[in-house]
Amino acid sequence: MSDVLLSVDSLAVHFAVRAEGLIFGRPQLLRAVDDVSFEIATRETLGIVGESGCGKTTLARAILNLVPKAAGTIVWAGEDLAQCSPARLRQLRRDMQIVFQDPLGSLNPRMKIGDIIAEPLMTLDPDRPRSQMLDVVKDIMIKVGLDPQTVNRYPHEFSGGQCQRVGIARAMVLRPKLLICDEPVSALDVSVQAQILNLLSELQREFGLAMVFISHDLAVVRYVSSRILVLYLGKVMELAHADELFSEPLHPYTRALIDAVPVPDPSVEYGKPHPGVGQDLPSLLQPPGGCVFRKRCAKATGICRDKVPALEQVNPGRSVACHHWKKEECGDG
Amino acid sequence: MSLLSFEDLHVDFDTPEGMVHAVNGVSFEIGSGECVGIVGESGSGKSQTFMAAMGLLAGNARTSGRILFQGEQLLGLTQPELNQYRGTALSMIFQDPLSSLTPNVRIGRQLSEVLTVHRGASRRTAATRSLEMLESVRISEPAKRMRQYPHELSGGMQQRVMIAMALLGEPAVIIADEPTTALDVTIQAEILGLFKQTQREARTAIFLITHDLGIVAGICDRVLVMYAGRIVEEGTTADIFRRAQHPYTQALLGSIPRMLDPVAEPLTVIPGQAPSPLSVTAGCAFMPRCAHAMDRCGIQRPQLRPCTARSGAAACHLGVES
Repeated sequence: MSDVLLSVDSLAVHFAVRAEGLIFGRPQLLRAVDDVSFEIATRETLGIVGESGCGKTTLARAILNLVPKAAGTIVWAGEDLAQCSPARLRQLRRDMQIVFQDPLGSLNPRMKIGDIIAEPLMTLDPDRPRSQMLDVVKDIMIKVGLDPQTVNRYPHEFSGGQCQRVGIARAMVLRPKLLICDEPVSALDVSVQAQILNLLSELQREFGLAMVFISHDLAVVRYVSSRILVLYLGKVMELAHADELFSEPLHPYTRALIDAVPVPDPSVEYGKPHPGVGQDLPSLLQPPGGCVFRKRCAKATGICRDKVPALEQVNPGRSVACHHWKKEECGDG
Repeated sequence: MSLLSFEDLHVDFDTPEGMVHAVNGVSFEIGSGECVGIVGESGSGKSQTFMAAMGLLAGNARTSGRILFQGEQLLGLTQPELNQYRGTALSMIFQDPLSSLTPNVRIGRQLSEVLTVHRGASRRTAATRSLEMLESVRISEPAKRMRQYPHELSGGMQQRVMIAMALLGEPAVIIADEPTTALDVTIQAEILGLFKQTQREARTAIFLITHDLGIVAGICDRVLVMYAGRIVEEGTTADIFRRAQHPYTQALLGSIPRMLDPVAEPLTVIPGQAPSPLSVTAGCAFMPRCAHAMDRCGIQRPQLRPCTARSGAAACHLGVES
C-alpha cells in the first residue's frame, strides 16, 4: 500500500474483571482485542464486522487511545503513538475523530448544537480566532445537511437522523484525516440510514477521508467498505477486499455470517442451516483453546482444538485464520 | 376464515400538545398458518395497532373501530375479560427481552405461570411442559436455565425464553414486535427458524412487525406497509418486492444496501421526515416526500384500492384516473 495512514500491529487490549463471586472472585483477564493487525490507506474505508462482544468497539477506542492497550503498536503516518508526548497526541487528535452509535446519547443535552459542533475547535484548535468559529460551524452544518439557522437549538429538538448529522459535523469540523464510525446508522430507520450512508461517502470523496466503519450489518458494511476485517472474540478471522469476501468467503465464520443475513429478495431462500453457529458466543473469560471459533464451527477437527490457527496470507491484501481454508476453497473438505 | 381482523381501527393519544393520531383507520386480517409482515418507519403506528389488540395501550389512548378475534370484539374489553384471550388466543413477543421478563423471578416459574394461570395446569405438569418447551426452542442446558434469573442469560437466550413463553399457551396468533432487532444475525436466523417451524407445525398465525425488509422477504407470506398510521400498500411478499406500486414502498426498497449485489450508485434517499402525528392532512401524508406528487395529492387522500396487475392494494393516486 502506497500511502499508509494508520498501521496497527499486534494490538491487544485486556481488561481485568472479577467474574463469579463478585468481590471475592479472583480478577481474571478478559482479552477484548487480541493480536489484531491491519493498515489503512488514505481515502480508504475499512469495515469491521462481527457479533456483539467481539471487540469491534474496543478496537476502535484503542486506535484513538481511549482505552489503554496491553500490547502492540499503533503507527500514525510514520509516528508511533506510544512515543508521542501528550501535547503531540493532542495535536494528532485533530486528524482522527469518531462518530458514535447512539445519536442522541452522544450529544450533551444542555448544549446548543452550535456549541457541540464548535467544541472540538475550542479544545483542539484554540489558536483559531473566535470570530471565525461561527462561520466554520455553519459551513460544516451545510456540508452535513443541517440548516445553519438551527445553530442555537438543543439536541432534543432534532430527530435521530439529524442528531447523527450533528455527531458527524462535530467529528468533521476539524477536517480530520481519519473518521471512525462506530455503528453510526444502527439506531436509524432505513430511509434515514440511506441518507447518512450517502452523506458519509460524499464527505469521504470531498475531504479524502480514510474511514473505519464498524457495524454488525453486513449489507451496510459492504456498501461503504473497500476492505473488511472480520472479528471474532477479539481475534481477526479474515481480512479481505469487500468483493472477494462476499463472493468467496474463506473462513467458516465469515461464511456463516453472510448466510445468516436475510436478503431483501423473496426468491433467495433464507435460513441456510449452519449447525452450531446459532449457539451463543463462548465467554471471553474462558475462550476455547485452539481456534476460538471451533465450538460453533461445522468444519472443526482435532487440529482446531490443539493449535491456534495463524493468520495466513492468501494473496496480497487478503488473509485468513483457519486451518481448513484451503480445503474449503477446493471444495473437497 | 380470518382468525384476527382489524376493521377501521383508530388509535389517538390525548397529550398536552394535542391529539396524537397514531393509527388512522387500518383494516386487515390474518388467517391461521399465515405469516404477515408489517413494515414502516418508527412512528408509523405499527406497534400501537397491535398494542390495541392486546389491550396494552397507554391510559390516554382513545380507540375506535373493531378488532375481532374469531368474531369476538376485543376493543373495549375490561382487563379481566382480555386475560381470557392473552397468552392463549394472542401472545406478544417484544423487542427487548430483558425488560419483558420479570427480573426477580426464576425462568422456570415465569414459564410455568403461563400454564397454571391460563390453562389451569398443576405446577408439576406446568414445570415439565416448560422444560420441554425450552428444549424445543433449543436452549442449551434447559434444566439449569429453569433455575436461573433473566439477567444470567444472554440476549439470544432471553429471546428464546420469550418465544417459549409465547408458545406455551399454544396461542392462535403470535404478534412479534421486532423480535430479533437486538440480536446478532446468527442468532436471528435461529430465532426466525423457530417462528417458521411454529407457523408450519402448529398452524399459528404470525404477525411480524419489523423494519428489516430482509426478514420480511425471508419468512413472510404477505406484507403490509404502513406510513403515518395508515396502510399504504399490501400484497404478497413477492409482489411487494418485485412490483411495488406505492412510491413509499419503492423508495423504502431502494434505500436498503444490498449485500449480494455489486454496489455503485448512491442509495435512494427519501427526503425529509415522516409527518408529525399531531398534524392532520387532507391529502396524502407521504406527499411532501414523494417524487411523484401531483396537485391532487395535496387535496384528496388516496384510498387503498386493489391493484389490477397483481395481488393486494395500494393507496396512491398515481396511475389512477380521477
